[in-house]
Amino acid sequence: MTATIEQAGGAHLDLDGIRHGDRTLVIHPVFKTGPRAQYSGGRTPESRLEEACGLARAIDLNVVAAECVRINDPKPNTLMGSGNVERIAERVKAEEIDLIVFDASLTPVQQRNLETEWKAKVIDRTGLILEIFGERARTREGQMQVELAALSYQRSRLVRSWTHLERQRGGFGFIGGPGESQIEMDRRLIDERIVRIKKDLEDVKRTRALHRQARKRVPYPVVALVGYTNAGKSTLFNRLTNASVMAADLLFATLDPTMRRVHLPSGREIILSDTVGFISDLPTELVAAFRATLEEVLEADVILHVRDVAHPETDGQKADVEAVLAGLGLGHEVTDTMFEILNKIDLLDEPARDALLTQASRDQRQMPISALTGAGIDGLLAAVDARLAAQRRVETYRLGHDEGAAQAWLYSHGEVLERVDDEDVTEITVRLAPEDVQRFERQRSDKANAMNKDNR
Amino acid sequence: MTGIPVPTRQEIVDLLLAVLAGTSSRLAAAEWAAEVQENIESEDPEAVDPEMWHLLRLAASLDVKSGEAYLHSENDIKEWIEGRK
Repeated sequence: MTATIEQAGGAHLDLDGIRHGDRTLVIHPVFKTGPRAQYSGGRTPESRLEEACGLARAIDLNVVAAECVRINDPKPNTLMGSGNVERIAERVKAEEIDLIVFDASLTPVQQRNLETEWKAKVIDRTGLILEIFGERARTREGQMQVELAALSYQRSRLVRSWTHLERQRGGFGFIGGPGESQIEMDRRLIDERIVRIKKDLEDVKRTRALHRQARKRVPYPVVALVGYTNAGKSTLFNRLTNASVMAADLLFATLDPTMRRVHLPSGREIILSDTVGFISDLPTELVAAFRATLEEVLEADVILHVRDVAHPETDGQKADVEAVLAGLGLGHEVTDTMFEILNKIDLLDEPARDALLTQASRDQRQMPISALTGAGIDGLLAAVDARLAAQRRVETYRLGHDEGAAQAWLYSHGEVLERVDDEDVTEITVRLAPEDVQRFERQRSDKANAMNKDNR
Repeated sequence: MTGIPVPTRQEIVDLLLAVLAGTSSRLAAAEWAAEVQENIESEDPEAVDPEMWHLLRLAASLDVKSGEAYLHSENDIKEWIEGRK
């Protein structure tokens, strides 16, 4: 997992030379005072600890120990008190720990001091998630987005000794003159790299803008999957498309959006889009980097929020996903087009499953399913079909044979159900969004008025 | 009503065959189809052939990617040509 700042691919954005298989201790701090005591996302510390272990395993770290540590009085130098620091140092030595994953944010000073005390590498939650994203990104844009986020994170932590940056400086051309401190040099190296990536990203964004325009030309509605990481989005995607997208029991198995065509029961075709999963405390650097990708997803005609209802913290996960959506400025306006997919019902015991089915029967927006067994999938497809149909009105228009543009417009914006041509007119029955009905009728009216005026 | 050139279905089929044969790129084909589509929508040609129009719209999305792959596979394109989609 060693890599460098210069690595354009960004497959491994090394934060301090951690390696696959490192013997790892995961620590989840439980704050008793201060601002961080407020937030738990409705979860138990044990659940948060288990999630942090899952994150560590996601990049093949060998988690050999894990514990919650109560922090009554956060210390500026080591975060936790000296008693805990000493106790953990003994554990690190006894269990031959290579790496400590700290499931919270650490300041650079705290990180450096804990590494000194424990004689092992320390990485915090943001660093770990950046590392996972760095491993998962496949497209050039995804890789650059992750690298940009990692550089922003690294820049804020330059108090540490970054000797590897110095070794890499040859790759960046002219490097500063005598008298420049190590930190100043490192900061400049990172700034130069950030400028270069931002410029490259601008080029990619221009391509993406063209892409988005092209995607809007795809003559099918888009249905997007969102949800907490490991909620089963990729398993559902595979179930609906008969595809073989990587659906692993791994956090953030999917990072780059994937699309496929799917036939609904009515014969209607849609584009199904699978996307990156969300997680609590998603690093702000990553939210910023992936904002464009997330926003694009939310332009979908229908959004399926996939939930793992068998997870003990399913409500907390739901709140986290909704918080990310709200952070993107998308709240109430998307709820009209969103279904809650209650996935993994096969993992519930019978009473819990029955209770869930009863609850869902009262809410048309809740769809209980098992992407793994296929239970509920037919109902889900029918509901999406009905939702897409309900978003539109059926109208019949009689158009002259010379009104080719109007006909084309109807074919572009609606779903033509019937077309009858006779000698004088073409009669088209079409399903259109209400706003498109208004737009079409206004355009025809304006055109008729203009023609009348010309004739006078 | 203007004299803008409206392609026939066969002309679009020929374009798709060229894409399959590698003599036209997907991007070039999609850009041409999108431009024709926009012209037809903004001007006022004679009645459009719905089959041609459907194929034109599909062709305009030939360059859309899903990850590193194309959304529409070569088999999809063959099915369009055969009129099965």
